[in-house]
Amino acid sequence: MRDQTQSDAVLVDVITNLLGVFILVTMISLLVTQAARITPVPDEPHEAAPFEERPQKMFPSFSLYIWVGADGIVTLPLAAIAQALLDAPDTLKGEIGGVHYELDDTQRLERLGLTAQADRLRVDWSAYRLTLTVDPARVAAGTGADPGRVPADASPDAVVEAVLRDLPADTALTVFVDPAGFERFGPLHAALSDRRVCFRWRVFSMTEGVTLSRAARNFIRDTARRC
Amino acid sequence: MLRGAPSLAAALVLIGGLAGAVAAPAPALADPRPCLFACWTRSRTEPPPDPIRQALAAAIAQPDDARADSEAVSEQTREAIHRGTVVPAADTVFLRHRGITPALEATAVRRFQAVALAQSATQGLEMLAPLRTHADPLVRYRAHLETARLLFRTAGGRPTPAADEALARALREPLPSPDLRADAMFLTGYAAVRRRAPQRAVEAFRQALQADPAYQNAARWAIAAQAMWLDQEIGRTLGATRCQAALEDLLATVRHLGSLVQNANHFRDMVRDLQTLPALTGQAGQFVKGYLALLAADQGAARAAFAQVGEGRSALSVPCTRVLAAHAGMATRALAAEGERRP
Repeated sequence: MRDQTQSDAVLVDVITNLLGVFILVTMISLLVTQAARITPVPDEPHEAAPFEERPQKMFPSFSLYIWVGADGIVTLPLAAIAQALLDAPDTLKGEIGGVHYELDDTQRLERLGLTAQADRLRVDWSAYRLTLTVDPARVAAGTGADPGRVPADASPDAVVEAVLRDLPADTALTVFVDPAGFERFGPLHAALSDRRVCFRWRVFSMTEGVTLSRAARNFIRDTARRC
Repeated sequence: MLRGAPSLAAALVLIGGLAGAVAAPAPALADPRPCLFACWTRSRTEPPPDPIRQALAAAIAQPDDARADSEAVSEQTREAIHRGTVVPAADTVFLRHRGITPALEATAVRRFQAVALAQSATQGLEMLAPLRTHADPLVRYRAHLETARLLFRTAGGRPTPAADEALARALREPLPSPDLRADAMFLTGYAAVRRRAPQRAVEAFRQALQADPAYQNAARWAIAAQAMWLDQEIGRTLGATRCQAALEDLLATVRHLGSLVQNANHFRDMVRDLQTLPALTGQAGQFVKGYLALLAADQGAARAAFAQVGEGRSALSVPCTRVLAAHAGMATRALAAEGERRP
């Protein structure tokens, strides 16, 4: 009788444990399924801030971009970057004079255009997204290779002279200011204003980068205003 | 007697016709029927509908509804603009409309991207060279179009013979759909406006808008070209009926633009931009400024513009001057009545 009671207890124990394991497995599988369904694919670990401009004119002038950091000023070698991207059509990224560039591939552009309704990006042949970051160490060391580089210790007037020296008539000046570069930018802003140079400026971190683009969203006013 | 009867009848008809021509109010001038005495008496009691009068009244009463009231823009397009799948302000048809860009080999796409990144016209034009002789006519068309756009950019928007040549080449390319030509037609019209050739500009913008009704820049510049054409060319010789018709066309283009710019604040900003155009300084231009101000719900600016219509020496024909002055006066009175009603 006692043996019978013991074997019943063991059976109940085994069944209870099995039931527990079954519930656990069910819950885990349900959680995994749900997680796969709701978690976005983390394909972009970092997004640089976009520099978007609403074209005020139908035929905007070309632009010379300089980036003011704490340790110096970098002229963004966009012409050289455009040429490098053309010369090596299979590559998407590279570095020129301490400026790192990365072009989004067409698949990513298409994904943005098709999946992100708010982004409203059109995949035109000429549409692009180019992310630029600057290595502050290279700026400080003055070891960049781009010929437009302004000396790190130059006075604001000398900087303006250097920037304007080769600025063509059809080209306007755009200044990106690193949050650490405000001290340097203050006198430069005054020098540019005194010389009545037309320029625009925005704040972007050199290390976090900036994204230049050509897309339909650049023509949607609300989107452009947000930036 | 018998011999005198026809001449008497002719004299009566002539007097009746003259009386009709002199005394008939301006809206009756739109009636294409020969207006003899009987017609004149009927028009005094039942004036025919006048689209300009109706447009002005609607713009005063309900600016937002009147702004969006264009037959040229379909309900489908309006919804697409609202959803963001059509972007009227974009500069090429491929950016204005989602999903119309066909596939192209990666190296050619990269070349177009590099051109868009180019920092000077010289660099961009050099990069475009291989695309201008590409096997695909659509690629060649696009390369010629980008060539023209770069040449406009480097010349500060001024047309040049080189840009003309690029546009002519673009328009000669056989395209899968003629609607894709909208951008080349627009640039042709824009060059004509800058060269003060409004008739050519009006025709080019008409074709651009026919190809792509959601083309905001084409509608904007069509207004300038139509006003310039009326003030500087056809308005100097037009009779009242044709002047009225030309003015109706012009107001329809304004409503077309209003349908594309759905946000009232954006439309107000655009009206401010338009009002600074030199093309809108003549009498027809002032009238359009008044109508634009009405649609932007800026009744003060509208009153000022309509007051300008009758001032100064007119370069327009006498009948055309009368048509404009009659409608401007009508709008001024309606605005005054509206002001009294809503103090």
